[in-house]
Amino acid sequence: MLTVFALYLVAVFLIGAFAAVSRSRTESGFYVGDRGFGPFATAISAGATDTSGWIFIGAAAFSYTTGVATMWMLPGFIAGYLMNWFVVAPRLRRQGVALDALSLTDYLHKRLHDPVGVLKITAAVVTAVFFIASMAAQLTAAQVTVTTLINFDGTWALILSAGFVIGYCIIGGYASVVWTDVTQGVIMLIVLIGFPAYMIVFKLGGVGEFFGTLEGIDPILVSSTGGTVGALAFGFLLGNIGFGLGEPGQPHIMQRFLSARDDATIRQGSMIAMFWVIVVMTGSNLLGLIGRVVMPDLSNPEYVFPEVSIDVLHPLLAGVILAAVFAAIQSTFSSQVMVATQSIASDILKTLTKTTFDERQMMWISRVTMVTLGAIATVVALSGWKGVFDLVLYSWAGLAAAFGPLLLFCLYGNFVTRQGALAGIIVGPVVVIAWVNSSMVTYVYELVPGVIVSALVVLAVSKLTHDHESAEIGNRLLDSPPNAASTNTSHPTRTDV
Amino acid sequence: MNEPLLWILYVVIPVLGFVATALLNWRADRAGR
Repeated sequence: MLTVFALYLVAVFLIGAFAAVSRSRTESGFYVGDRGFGPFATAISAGATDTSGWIFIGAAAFSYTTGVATMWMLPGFIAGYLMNWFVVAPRLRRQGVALDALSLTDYLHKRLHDPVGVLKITAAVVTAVFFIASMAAQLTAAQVTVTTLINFDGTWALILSAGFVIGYCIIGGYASVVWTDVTQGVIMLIVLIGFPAYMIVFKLGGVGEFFGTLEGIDPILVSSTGGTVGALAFGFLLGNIGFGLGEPGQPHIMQRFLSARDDATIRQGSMIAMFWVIVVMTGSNLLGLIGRVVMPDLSNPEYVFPEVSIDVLHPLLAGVILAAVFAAIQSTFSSQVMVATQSIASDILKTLTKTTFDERQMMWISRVTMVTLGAIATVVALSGWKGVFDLVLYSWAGLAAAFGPLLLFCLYGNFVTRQGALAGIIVGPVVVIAWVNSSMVTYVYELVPGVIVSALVVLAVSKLTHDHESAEIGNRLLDSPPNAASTNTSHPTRTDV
Repeated sequence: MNEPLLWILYVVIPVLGFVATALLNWRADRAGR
């Protein structure tokens, strides 16, 4: 098992290192890979980035305890993906090229008139904070997996996991991240299709008997609302479907759209992406259910997938499982550390110090930032503050509330003012945090009120403030013909921003 | 056991997802975007 896992680690590291060779040594190269990625790389990378260790650890735990009703997340994610790939991606890519935006934060800064950089800094801080939470969650998921499968010290498992990923990110930047994502995505797909199919068909008596057994263990496992009724059921369904609402506005996913080669890439990528989300959500749901049948009395359901794997599978296959879980973790962790680094090194630091750094200095600042962020995430994870499931959802909701509605309004309208944007970016996450810490969270997932309030605040504050410059930029972007901005320059010359 | 529920969750919704994607792609191609 360890041999297989070790082979996976070596392969990923080599892929990351080779990817480094082909990219340009500019900020554009480091952060968006020179915008040269085609549909397969864009879609699988977006999917793998999106799908973190949460899918194997957190989501599986959710379906372990709550049953088939957690599949209600799927229509929400389908809607979210459709929104991302058809409503957000084409415009974001084009406007990103027109504005030479290297990140979501950069896009907002250039799309809206933000001379002092307050918007940029605020957006960057919000991104960094929530990403640290999510990165800590990934490391916790790594710890759960490793300590279950092999006799390895939990603390070291965490530290080494962080170190490994930071390693290939430092070497290759965004291109390394994307190509390792693709590798990791393929492994995840194989496991998420193969494992449930094998277990249900060969070990658990086929589909009919499988669901029958589940019903026998606890009828709520096959109920439509996970055993909740009335208002709680409504909240349960709304929250489940609401997860997918968080898709637009997630900075690490938006990065994939900014780096896509052209419009055709986006269109072709959408089918691959839809295949991805359906397979992954269904697969993880079945993982949890299978776990409940095989091991109905686990004290911590987050351990279900690794526990079942060692119990049921040949050690070589368990090694593949270990690799797949790490693939999920690392693909998300790497993307988030990239974007968080960019937020701090490129967005906050450059704006605050107003110094012009040359490319080599920026690379070094970026690398130091990356290591620091990895260290902070490791400390948060070691503190054991929250479980994987909760931390990821929290981060997801916070970022969705901060950026989702705002991004949509900026892409399609010209009415958003700098002040409106700032209000949304601050109020959205505040609502999320307040909701989580109140009793309301038992009724509805915190993303729903966060997004709704954020949207209203952006609209209201924009209406009440004046910002002609932002409106002009908006008009210019909305008026330009669709294909005018889609030419890709392979090595854009970057004068300092 | 609620069989229709299982069909909806595991078959109908995924198929709808694919169909929606294909349709939207077809529309985008026609619009020449």
